Amino acid sequence: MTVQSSNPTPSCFAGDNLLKNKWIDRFLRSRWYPGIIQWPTLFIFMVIMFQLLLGPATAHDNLGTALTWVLWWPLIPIIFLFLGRFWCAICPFATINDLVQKFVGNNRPVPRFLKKYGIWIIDASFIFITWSDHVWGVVANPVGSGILLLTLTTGVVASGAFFERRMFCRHLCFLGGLAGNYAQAGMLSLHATPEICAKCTTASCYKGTETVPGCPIFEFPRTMSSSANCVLCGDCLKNCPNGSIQLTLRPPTKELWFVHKPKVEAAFLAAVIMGIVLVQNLTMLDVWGSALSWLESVTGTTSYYVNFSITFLVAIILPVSLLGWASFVATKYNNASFADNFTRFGYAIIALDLSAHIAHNLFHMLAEGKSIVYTGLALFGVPSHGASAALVSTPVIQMLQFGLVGFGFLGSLYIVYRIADTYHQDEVVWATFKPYAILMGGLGILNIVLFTLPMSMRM
Amino acid sequence: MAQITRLKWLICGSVISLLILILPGTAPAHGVGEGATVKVDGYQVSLVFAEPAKTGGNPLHVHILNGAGMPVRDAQVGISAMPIEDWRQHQKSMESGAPMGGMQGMHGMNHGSVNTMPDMPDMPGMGAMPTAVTSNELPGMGGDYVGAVTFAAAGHWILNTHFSINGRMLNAAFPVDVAKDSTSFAILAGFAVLNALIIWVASQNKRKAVIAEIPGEVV
Repeated sequence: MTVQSSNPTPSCFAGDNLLKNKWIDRFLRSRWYPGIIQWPTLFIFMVIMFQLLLGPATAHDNLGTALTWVLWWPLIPIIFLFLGRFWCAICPFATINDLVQKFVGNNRPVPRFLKKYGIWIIDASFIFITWSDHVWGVVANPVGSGILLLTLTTGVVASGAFFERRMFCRHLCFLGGLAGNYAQAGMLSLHATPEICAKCTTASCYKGTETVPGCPIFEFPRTMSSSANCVLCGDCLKNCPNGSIQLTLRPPTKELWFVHKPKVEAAFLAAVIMGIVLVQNLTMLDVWGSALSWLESVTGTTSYYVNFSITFLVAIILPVSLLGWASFVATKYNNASFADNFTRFGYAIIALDLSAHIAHNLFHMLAEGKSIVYTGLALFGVPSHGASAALVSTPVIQMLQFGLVGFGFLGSLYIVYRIADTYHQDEVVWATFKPYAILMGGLGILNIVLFTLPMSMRM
Repeated sequence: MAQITRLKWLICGSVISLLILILPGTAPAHGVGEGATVKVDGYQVSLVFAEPAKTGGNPLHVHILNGAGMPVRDAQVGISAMPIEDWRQHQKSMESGAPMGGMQGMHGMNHGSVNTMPDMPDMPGMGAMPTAVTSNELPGMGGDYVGAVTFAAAGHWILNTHFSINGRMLNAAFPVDVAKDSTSFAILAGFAVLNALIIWVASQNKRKAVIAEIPGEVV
C-alpha cells in the first residue's frame, strides 16, 4: 500500500520550526510528556469533582465551582489561542479514556455515522449544554456542575472501554467543535513535512509503534491540512522515524485566511458560538430582568423554560441569519453559490467569536479571580470575611474587553478580505468584502454595547 | 494474566478511591426538620421546614401569631442564617459594642436573589454562610410566610427571623441542625455503579487494538 503525499507545506503552517530548539524538542519527545502535566491535571480534576459533589452546597463557597467556572472555563479559549488544542492533550477526560482503554479496551472501530455526523452531534450537544446551564443552573449549582462532569466521565469511560483511541474526544466531546474552530485561529501549529513524508513507508505517526501509540485523535499528519484536530500530544513526533514533524508559531487566525476544505458545520458553529456569547452576556446583565418581564408579557407565560428558550433561539438564529444575509448579498457580486459563500466566509466569524468569548470570560476571571483563593483557604478554615474577589477594577476589565473585541473585529475583517482575495479578483474582492464587513461590524458593535453594561458574577 | 492482575488493581483502586471520597462526608446525617416555636415580645413565631434541614436549598414556613393568638398579617419577614459559632461571636461583639462592617460581607447576598431582610453586619469569624431567603406571605393564609434558605455546609446553624410589625423590628433566633444532603452521594454512587458496569462489560470482551483505517488519499 502506498499513500499519496499531500501538497507542499500549506502556507498556514509556514514558520520557524520550534523543534529546532533542543529543549522544546527534548521535552516533547520525552516519555514524561504529556504525562507530567496530564496526571496533576487529573488530580486537580478529582479535587474539583469531590468539591462539586460533596463540598459546600452553594457556588459562592465551592472551590470546585471556582476552579471550573472562574479559572478553567475562561482559560480554555486563551489556551486555544496561544497553544491550539494543547488542552485536549492533558484533559482529564482523555486521561480517563486512555486508562480505561489500557485495561479493558475493546478497541472497536468508530461507528460510521459518527465519522459522518459527529461534528453535528458535537454542535448540538454544545448548544444543549449551554441551554441547560441556563434553565437548570449548572454553573450556579455545584452538584449540577458535578453531574455534568460525571456524565462526561461516563461518556469517556464508555468510549475508552468499547472503542478505539479517543473516539469521544474526536467525535463526541461538546467542546470539540469549538476547540477545532478556535485552534485554527491559534498561534501554534504541528504539521508534517510533505517532502519527507513522501518517502515514508511506515506511517508510524498514525499507526503507532511498540512504545508509543498512534495519533489518539485519528489524524494523519501526512495529509493533515488543518490544526482543528491536532491536540499536540507529541505521539507523532515520538513515532516518526524521519524527523518529519514540525512545530511552528504563526500569527493568530493565519490558518483561517485560506481554509483548505471549508465545512458548512464549522461555519454554522462559528455563527452559533457568536449567538451563544451574546446570550451569555445578555442573561448576566441587569437589564435581563426587564427583558424577561417584557417577554413574559408577550408570551403570556412566566415559564423560564419557555422564555429563555425563545431568547436562546433568537440569539442563535440572529448571527446565522446575518451570515446568511451577507452570503446572499455576496452572491450578487461574486457568482459563487450561497452555500459556498456561507461556508467559506463563516470561518471569518471565528476571530470575533474567540475575542468575544475571551472578553466575556475575562470578566469572570478578573472580577472573581480571588474567589479561587478564598474558597481554597476556606477548606483550611481560613475565612475571607467577604473580601472583594476582584483582581482588577471594572473599568480596567472593560478596557480589556473593548480592546479584545476590537482585535477580534479587525481579525475577522482581515480574514474576510483574505478569503475574498483567494477566491475572487479585482473589484469582486471588495464587493464581496462589503456585506461581510457590515456583518462583522454589527456583531462587534453588539458585543461592545453589551460589555458596557454592568454584568453579574458567577460565584 | 498480567492484564487480569492489572484489572484487579484498577477495580481495587477505584473502590478505595470511591470510599476515600465518600466516607469523610457521610458522618453528619441528623437534621431537625419539625421546626420550633419562640415567643418574642408577646408574639409567637413558629419556624417549620418542609423537610429536615439539609445542605442546599430548604423551603420553610414562618408562622406569626399575636398575643391574642390571631395570625399577624402584612409583616415584613426576613431570615438570615449563620453557623452557631459565628453567631455566638456576633453576640459577644454586640455586647461589647465592637464596630461592625457593612452588608458587603454577606455571602450569597449578591446578585439575583431577592432578600427581604434588613442589612446585616459583617460578623468577625464569619465563614461559609451563604443564605438567600425570600419570604412572602401566602395568599389567603394570614400569618403564614413562605421562603427558602440555602445552607452551604452541614452543622449547627442559627436562623434569625426578622419581622417588622407596625414599624417595630423584632427578631427570633432558632437553632437548626443541618444535615449533609445525601443526594450527592446517591448521584455519585449511581454514576460509580454505571461506570463499573461499563468497565465490567468491556472487560468481558477485551480484544487487541486494531489499526484504524488511515484517513487521507490512500491509493
